[in-house]
Amino acid sequence: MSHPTLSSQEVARRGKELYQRSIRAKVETQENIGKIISINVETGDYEIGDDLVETSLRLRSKQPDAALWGERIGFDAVYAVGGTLLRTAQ
Amino acid sequence: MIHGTVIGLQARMSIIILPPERLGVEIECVIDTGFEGFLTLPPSVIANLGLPYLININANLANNSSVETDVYLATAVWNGVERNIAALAMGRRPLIGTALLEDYHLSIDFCEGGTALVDEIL
Repeated sequence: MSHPTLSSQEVARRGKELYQRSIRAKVETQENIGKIISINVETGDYEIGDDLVETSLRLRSKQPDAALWGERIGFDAVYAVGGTLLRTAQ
Repeated sequence: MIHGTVIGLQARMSIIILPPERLGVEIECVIDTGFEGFLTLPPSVIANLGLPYLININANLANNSSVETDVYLATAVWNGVERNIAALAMGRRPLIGTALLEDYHLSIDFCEGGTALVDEIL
């Protein structure tokens, strides 16, 4: 079971839109490229760090049932599972 | 030190997952050095273990497609140490990725029944 009220597709849709529209320009700095960002798709709150579990649990400590979307800053996916991450940032 | 075995040209190794409020469950995984995360588990195994939902992410597969993936929080015992790791709900066979192998030494005798070892880096 994923999030109790939002489908996985809806979490992804909201998360991607939020990241591209209002977060990416602020966080895509040289020092953040390659780091993980976890985003609360209902509030826009986010946490940046090196570990997906840590950034996500920091958001959950504020809102335990939060719907979260994760990105690797400057890349097209968080993990490669046999593939290759494509760098999207200049 | 963690021991595994080569079966059918796959290096297999077990990891112990501690489900919420239950005894540990040993899960046999394939070591996949093309996977940069910690662990993948089939969705049915995640449901059986009752792991809590953590987040949704994109993962990039070998055919270069990106797939939206549910990620769950797993407490694993790895080399005798308990740690919280991200488990991606995907596939039919559990995979151990390189994030779990980071700062360890991996050696594999690639023949049927060969030994796979994960140990400290000397």
